Amino acid sequence: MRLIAVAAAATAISSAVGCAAEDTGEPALSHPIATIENAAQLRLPIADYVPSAAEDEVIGRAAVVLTENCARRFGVHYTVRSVEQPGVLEGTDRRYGVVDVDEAARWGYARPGKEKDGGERWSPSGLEYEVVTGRSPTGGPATVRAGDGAPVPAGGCAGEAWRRLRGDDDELVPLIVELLNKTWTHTRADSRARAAEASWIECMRQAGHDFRHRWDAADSVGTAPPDQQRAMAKLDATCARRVNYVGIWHAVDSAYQRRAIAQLGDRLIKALADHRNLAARATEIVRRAAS
Amino acid sequence: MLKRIVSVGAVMAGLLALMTPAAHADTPTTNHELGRQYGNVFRATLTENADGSGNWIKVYGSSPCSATITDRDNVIRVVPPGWNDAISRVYDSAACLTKLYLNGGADPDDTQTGWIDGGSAGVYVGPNWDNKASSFALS
Repeated sequence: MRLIAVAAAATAISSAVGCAAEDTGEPALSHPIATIENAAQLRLPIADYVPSAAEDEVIGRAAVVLTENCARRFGVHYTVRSVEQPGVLEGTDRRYGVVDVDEAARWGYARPGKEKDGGERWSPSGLEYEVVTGRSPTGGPATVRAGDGAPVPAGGCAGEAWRRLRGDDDELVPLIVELLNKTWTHTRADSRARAAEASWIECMRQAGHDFRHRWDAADSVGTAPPDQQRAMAKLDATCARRVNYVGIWHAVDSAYQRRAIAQLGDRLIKALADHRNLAARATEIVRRAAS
Repeated sequence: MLKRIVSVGAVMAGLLALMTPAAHADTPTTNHELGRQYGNVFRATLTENADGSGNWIKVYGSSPCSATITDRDNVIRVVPPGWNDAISRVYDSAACLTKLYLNGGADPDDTQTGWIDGGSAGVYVGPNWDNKASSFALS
């Protein structure tokens, strides 16, 4: 299994976001290092290049329009409406573990919010499912034909809609994901982050716990009663605040991100421009459908 | 299937283990977005750590998950490189549920969890499944 991980690391480092040879040493941190006490204080440098919620929304609505148009060729009414979507940075509030002590005391390691997502499930007919997804409800390939004898497109009408909408030039989100990969790998190995981790380990040791990494604390109470989980999360976050673990990891991560963004240079700016063009095309598709 | 292939190498890994400290599990080195070719409806996040920190796999589709759980809306038959035996926490959205399988293939006859409703708060997969899954499905 280690061989797999080593190969994956090599692939990640040599892939689209720069290459290892361009990284020279540990980047300087911006001083003073902020004390981070809640997740709202976390803002990653790559956030400047993330598509807006409005862009994501209109792209999703345009995909629905194109899927509807395709499904109509098969005599199918597409019953999905646009769905509200989180952005690509969703979840990065937990990138370094739980942050807020009071929140940890109340929620443990769970993110505050609904325990069940409660979203409305899609209830298609078998025909709609097949046309939209390109698969039969039992998982086999679609066998439906349009009135002119054409088969269901690869990936179904949803697949066709996304290919038509996005083409091949939307590399913004993959670039952001790769940058997050690369900078997380560097952050974990960085001497300043490791020193903060050592301070957190010592704080937890004084409280009677022996962990190798911060994330081992949650593992240790994974199936314990909720009050024990909350107690551990609170202690974990308290030690993290005491040594400013999150502030230091965020500062280190941000320094690597700024370097990676600079290395990407025009490529990232072009990807953002391409994505904005995609959003403009999507807006036009939605406008025409409404008129 | 993946786990079986990996287990062939386990003999060598066992020999190496005599010389190196035991590993906790695979340490994923990359985030992954799966299903983006079908749409941007966010369905689930699976994270490497029980506290939600670290790397993740995000899964997307063309729609919310469908109403009958006999339809598997995403079937990830082989987890991405580095993610074998590495999933610890599950979040899901768009009315999706998540099921983990012990081996690659997401075979309905394989050892598997029930349908997990991680919701936006996320749930730890439990000690029996922490760092054990080789494939998964959403419904």
